[in-house]
Amino acid sequence: MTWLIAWAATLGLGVVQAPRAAAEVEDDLRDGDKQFENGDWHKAATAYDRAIAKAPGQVSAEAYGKRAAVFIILKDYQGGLDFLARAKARFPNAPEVLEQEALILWETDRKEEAIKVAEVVVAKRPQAFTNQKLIGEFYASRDPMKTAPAYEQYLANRPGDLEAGDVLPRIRLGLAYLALARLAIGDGDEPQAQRLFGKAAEQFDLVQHKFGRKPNAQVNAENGLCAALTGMGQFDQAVTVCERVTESPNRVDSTGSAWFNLATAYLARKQTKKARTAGTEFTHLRKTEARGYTLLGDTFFAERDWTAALDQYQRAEKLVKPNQPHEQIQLSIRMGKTYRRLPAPPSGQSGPSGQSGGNPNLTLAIDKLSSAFGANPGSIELALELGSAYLDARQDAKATALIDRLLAGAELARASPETRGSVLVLAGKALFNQHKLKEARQRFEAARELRPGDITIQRSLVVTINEQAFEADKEPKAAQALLEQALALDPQSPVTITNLAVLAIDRGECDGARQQLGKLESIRGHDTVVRTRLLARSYLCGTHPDPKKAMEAYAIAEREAKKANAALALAEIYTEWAPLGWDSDPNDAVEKLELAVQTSAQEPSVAPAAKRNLAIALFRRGWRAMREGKATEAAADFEKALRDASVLRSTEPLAFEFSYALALLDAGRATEAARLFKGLAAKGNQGGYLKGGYARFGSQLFAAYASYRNGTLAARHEAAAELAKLVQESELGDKIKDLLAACWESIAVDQWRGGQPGAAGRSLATAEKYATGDARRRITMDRAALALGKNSLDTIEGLAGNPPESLVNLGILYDQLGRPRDAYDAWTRAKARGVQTRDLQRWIDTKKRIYGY
Amino acid sequence: MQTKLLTILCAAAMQWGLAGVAAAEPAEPTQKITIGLYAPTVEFGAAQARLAYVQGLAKAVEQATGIKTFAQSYANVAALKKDGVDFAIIDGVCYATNLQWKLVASANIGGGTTRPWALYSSVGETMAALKGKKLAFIATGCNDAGFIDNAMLESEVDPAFFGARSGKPDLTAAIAEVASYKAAQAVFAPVGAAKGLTKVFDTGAVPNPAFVDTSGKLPAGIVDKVAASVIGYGGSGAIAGWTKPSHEIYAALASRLGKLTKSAILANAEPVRIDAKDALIEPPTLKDTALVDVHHHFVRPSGGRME
Repeated sequence: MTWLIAWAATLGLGVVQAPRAAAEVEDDLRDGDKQFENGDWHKAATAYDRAIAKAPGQVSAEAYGKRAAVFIILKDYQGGLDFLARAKARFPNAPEVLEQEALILWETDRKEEAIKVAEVVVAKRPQAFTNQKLIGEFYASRDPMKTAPAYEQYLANRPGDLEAGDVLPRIRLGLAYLALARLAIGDGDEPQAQRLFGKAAEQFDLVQHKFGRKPNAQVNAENGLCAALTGMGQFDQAVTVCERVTESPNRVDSTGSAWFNLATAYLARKQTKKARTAGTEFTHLRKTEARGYTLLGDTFFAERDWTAALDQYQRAEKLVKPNQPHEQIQLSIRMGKTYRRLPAPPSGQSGPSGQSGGNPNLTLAIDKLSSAFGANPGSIELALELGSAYLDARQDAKATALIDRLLAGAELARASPETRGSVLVLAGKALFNQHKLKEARQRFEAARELRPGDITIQRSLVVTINEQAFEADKEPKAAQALLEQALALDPQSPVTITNLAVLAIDRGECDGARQQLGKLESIRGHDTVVRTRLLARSYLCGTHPDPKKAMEAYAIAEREAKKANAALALAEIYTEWAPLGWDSDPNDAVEKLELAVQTSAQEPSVAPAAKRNLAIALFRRGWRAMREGKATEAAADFEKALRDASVLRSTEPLAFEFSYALALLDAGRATEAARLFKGLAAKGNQGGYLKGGYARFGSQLFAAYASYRNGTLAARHEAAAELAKLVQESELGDKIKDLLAACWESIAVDQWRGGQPGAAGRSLATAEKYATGDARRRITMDRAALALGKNSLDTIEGLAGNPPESLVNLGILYDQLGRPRDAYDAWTRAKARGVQTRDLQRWIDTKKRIYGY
Repeated sequence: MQTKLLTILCAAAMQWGLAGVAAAEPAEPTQKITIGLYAPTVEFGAAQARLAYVQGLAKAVEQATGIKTFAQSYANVAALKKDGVDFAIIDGVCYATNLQWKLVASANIGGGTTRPWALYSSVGETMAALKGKKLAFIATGCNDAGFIDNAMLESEVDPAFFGARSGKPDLTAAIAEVASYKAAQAVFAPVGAAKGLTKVFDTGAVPNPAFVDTSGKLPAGIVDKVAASVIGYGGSGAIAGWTKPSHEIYAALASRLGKLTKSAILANAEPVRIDAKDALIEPPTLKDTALVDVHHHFVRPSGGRME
């Protein structure tokens, strides 16, 4: 009733615009107004009725409205409607009349009819606050777009004395703003959403401060404020307000929104566990609302627990309603993101694989996002997510097609520069992956114009230009020019500077490379292992290679590679470093190269170099071992050096094999050696790797040589015969005589061991013809030994312990002559000279024991 | 019917019995067993003790076999052989030179079947001091020279090293020749046996006396009984007891009795090697060590892709 009176007051006098036709009518209307003001409704009604009866045409619509108001005040709604039916005959469209009709229809619970009428009224007279209020109230739970302007008009036009009743209108207005803000978010209009959240916060704040003591005002205002602050991203304040609401369950409104908003605020502050607890409270209250489960999924997603997140999103998916397209899109994006992050299930657990590199989860992500995008083709956010999933699945062409459609459509033009930039970046990446570098570069450049400060776009652009340089590899100048373009964009790009150094080394411009690598040292984010490794290499090329500095630099690079556990880099370092030190330490070189070969086995850019250097290192070490008389080790090295002939060049395989054969001979594996010599003879080209006479008579000579070293008596006889044929060949020098003497000497030893002293004597005589130096002394001793007796003493003593075996025989002679001490001394010297015979030590020991020497 | 069958069986049995008697020579039961003793290296001390020992053993054999057993001690191995005794206790070296006899048991002296021997001197502890001096030895008649020159001196000492050699009937006499009578300056004796003399060097182990079946004529069952009674004979004094036969120790001594001759050796024929420097042309490409192509360090997105 109060607001009706207030309404009447706003109308002023019903006679203001009445014609002057009848003074009585005027008087009646004035009387009616007076009684109305006094609250004497019956007298007012009588006065108005009198005026209408006297001259209905001279009574204004406002007066009819006032009369109708009296019906309402007196709760005579039917009478009122009857009266209004008559009034409408005279004033069919007068808002003053219709306003009252709407009020009566509202009061008689014919609300929809009332609102239809009220909407006509407010369209003509927006200041009709009573009807605005009806509209606001009616649409509060139905349509925030209608609620908000209705309440705004109500609050703007209601008389000041009605302010005390503002609690509910303002709360409802605030809630309408919140709903509108969410719609704006759904439309991607974030600024509008922020404005609306702000307006909502103003309303709730006002209610809290002005009407805080009124029933429910505080509670409702806090619930609303909790939502508005969360929406505005003022999460700290939101948490404070929302926690205050949720402290007491009866302060939480029936929607449970405080829990939801608190969870959202917690999540934004990365308090995921608290967020999950609050979110769970929300889902207890709103079991059928998808957004609660979506929020719970978000908490797991934030914790990178993709499986749990997906579980929650799938629950949400079942609950999301067809009329919630925004929620559907958001959920699809989340599920798409989650599927993208889920690892591929172990092989054997097959699922849908599609064209996503065998990862069924990626296929599911694409399916999910494609379906959502099909239903919402205007959603750029969805398109971006789907495009990213395509990239993950290496379906770059699809990503390009998707983005091209987006670029051609009108939606993107309306999007923010940020969003457009993201689309262009995605396009650039998809094109890059298809090696359409020029187009990719254009996209990144366009994106950079939109987001000039975005470092990731700059980086992508730089990488693209670097890739262009890589593809222009065959044209060094073009590649260099491109890298300089990239450097102009980002002078501190470790990628570009590294690549400049690589190209410089490739061109042999190692001084230039070193300059670039020097620059790189102070730039964060560069690959230290690569830098140090390239720096070491730069000392091996250019105009003035410096192996000493290279070795120092490789040592540093090795340290870095080990620190970074970079096995392949270490293999490279060792491959190049080992040859620098193999003269001084062949074992270290071989060790390094073996490690390099082992590590780089599957890396074609490193393995062949490592293998070649290892083969050479083994060959070199093998010859060193041969010189040191370590034939077994030498044979092992040569054998390993020959394992991969593909890394050997020119005559290397033949030279290596020849060396191997010689080592085998020295190691007592003459049969294998003979086989190798035979194989080498069959291959020919001996002049390529053997000197003079060795090349000319190689087949014959080495076959005989192997037979001589073979160890069987028959083989040695054959060898002696073959060697005798070559004894006149001057190209072979004295070596052939030495061989022949040694061969006969060996034959003699074999014959003596076989119990043929006579034959042995004859063989020694033959050997003596060719022997010189030590061989001759040995033969002299051997001939004396064959007939050892007192007569041999001078001969044996004359050898003066050379060969050392002569000392053994001398001891025997002394023993026979009853000179035990001399015998003991001779044997002891023989032993010290390394003579190994079966009983020598026993003889020495016995003499020592018996005679006490 | 039953009566007839019984008659046939009885007749057959009588025929088999007659045949059995006719097939065998009439066995002449062993009337007596004789045991001889010749062990001059064992320190019995006196001849009576020597005889008493062998008689005690004979008594034990007699008790075990139930056959009258006689014992006799001999002054040399030839006399023992001549008497044709059934069994003999004989010195290790004598068994080593008569390995055809069947070994029944080995004597246990000092806890073992062999004893370490050494050369003992009355003129100092060096071999040099004994040069030209007289060597006393137990003249067993069982290859004494082989025993001294080869087994004891290991063929390492010139036979003329000692000025003279003096053979004695037993160990006690040999030691006394050096230690008491000073008629000789050196003697080979079991370690610990030559009191008052200086050990010059250890010569190795010599097996103790053997109990041998010298006749080979007694039935195996009796020989087994004799062996069992000998091994079970404890006794005391010079021979502590007997153990199961250990043939290899006597065979080892027999192998040491021969002279060891040292053979001359020929020089190791040093193989003539063909030096690589002489024959091989080092491939010029060896200096072309490989460098890793640095091109792969060109920084590119992983897999050539941007994600």
